[in-house]
Amino acid sequence: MAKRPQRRARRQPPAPPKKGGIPRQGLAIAAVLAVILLAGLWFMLGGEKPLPVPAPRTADGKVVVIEFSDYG
Amino acid sequence: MQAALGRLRLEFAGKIHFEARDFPLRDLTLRAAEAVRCAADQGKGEEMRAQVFGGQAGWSASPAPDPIWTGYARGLGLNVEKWGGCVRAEFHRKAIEADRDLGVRMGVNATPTIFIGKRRVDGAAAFERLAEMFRAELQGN
Repeated sequence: MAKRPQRRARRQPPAPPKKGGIPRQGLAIAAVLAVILLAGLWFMLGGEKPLPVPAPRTADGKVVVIEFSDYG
Repeated sequence: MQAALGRLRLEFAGKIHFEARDFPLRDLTLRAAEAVRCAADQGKGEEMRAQVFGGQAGWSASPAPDPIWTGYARGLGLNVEKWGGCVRAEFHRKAIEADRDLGVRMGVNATPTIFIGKRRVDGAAAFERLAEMFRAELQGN
């Protein structure tokens, strides 16, 4: 009697080791939040800021005189 | 106007804080402002300003005023190469535009416009009028 070929037991691929720490989704959300925060800071601190309208007097009481002129 | 303001600054020295702001209405005068600011970088802003205002009739009619401004720069003893590089690079363009934006926010729509404290003078004015307004402002009237 012929021997039935023995089936080799299929090897299951080893399960990826479980990583501790922050899940990927959490990292992505944190990255997006960081970008938003940095953009906000750039606008507040480093972006183009318009000149403030000068006060009519300086801190030491001098009258501020401003001339807006065109050379033409 | 420049003479009246110059006199005001002299007469009220110590009581006045003067700021000259650019409000260019045309591209040509924006470039003139650039020429003045680049001269100021070398400590000759006031002198260049006087030259550019004084020679207005000449350069504003010229299709290419740069050689005229270069002549002013040379006459003032500036490092012309450095000054020219500054002008060509439009180094001060953003600052000039910021001045103009400030003027717009303050309601300026023509030049010259002078603010003396809270008071405003539209158009050219004689020294006496400016001085009268300055005194009133000084007294808090």
